Amino acid sequence: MPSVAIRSYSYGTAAMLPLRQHLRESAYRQFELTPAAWPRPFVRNIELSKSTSGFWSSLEQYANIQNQMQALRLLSPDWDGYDAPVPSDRTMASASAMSETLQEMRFIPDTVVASAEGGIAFCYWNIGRYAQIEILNSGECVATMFDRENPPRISDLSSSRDAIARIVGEIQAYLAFS
Amino acid sequence: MPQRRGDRSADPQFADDEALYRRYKDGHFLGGMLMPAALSFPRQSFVRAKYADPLDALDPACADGKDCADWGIWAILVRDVPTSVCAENCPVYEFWLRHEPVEQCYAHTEIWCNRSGQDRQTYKEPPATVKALFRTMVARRLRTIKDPST
Repeated sequence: MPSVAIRSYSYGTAAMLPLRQHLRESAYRQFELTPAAWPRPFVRNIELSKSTSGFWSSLEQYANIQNQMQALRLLSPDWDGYDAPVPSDRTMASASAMSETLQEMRFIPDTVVASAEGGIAFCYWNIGRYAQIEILNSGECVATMFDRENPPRISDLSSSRDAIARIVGEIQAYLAFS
Repeated sequence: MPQRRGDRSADPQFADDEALYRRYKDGHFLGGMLMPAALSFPRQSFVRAKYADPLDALDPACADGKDCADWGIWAILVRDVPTSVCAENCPVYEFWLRHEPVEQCYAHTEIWCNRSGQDRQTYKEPPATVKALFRTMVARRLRTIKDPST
């Protein structure tokens, strides 16, 4: 009876290197990936986790809003072709503060746009229902909720946290009826 | 090519089904609706269909010499322009169309407003809530004629 040589290996020894190389190459072949792209499945898993995570998606949405607000700083007067003014520095500061408050309330806008009246508008929509919170260069702040069937709802708004919380509640309730 | 004014005077008659055209840039549509933030006061400018084609709204002659060829166009019918707006805690404001031809663009038209009962030669800027209500009513009724860059 032939004898079977049983050898024990420990990972990391020089004797194991060919096996480690073999396994690595085998794995690459399974994923049909080049070694340089090896981390991709893990990155993909992380991205998948992020896309299904409310926390991560709200952070991304918030970052997107911040980018849009930065872009509004680059507007030139007459950006709408009808002499619209750019958002003032004071309006930008107010909008920045409000965006932080909205983020804390987990009510991040779908988009933020310049107002042709001079100012900034945070905009929301949900299947046929729309809302915007507009901060104007005049210092006024107006919330609007509307759809194609019902009369629009307009509210004057102060920039206090209580006022924002109240209008956020109203807009959430309005949009939820879509 | 937009009609030039020449020696013609303004035409104050607007049919209910006449369209008014206005240009817009990309970025203010959300879920198929133009956000009211895209609309402004005072005296919103349009070109009227009786004396213009929709594309005249983009012509430099009707755009203060600006090149707006890749902008969009929306339209609203005369009968859909609100004539009276009553917002909470504000006086009633009346709105009307005023044909204001300019030399390069006979079709140029504006929406004017003032407090109910005032002389129609006077323009009066309304408070923010009245403006917001008017802009929203217009946004709900307008129709897109041309998307930007098409």
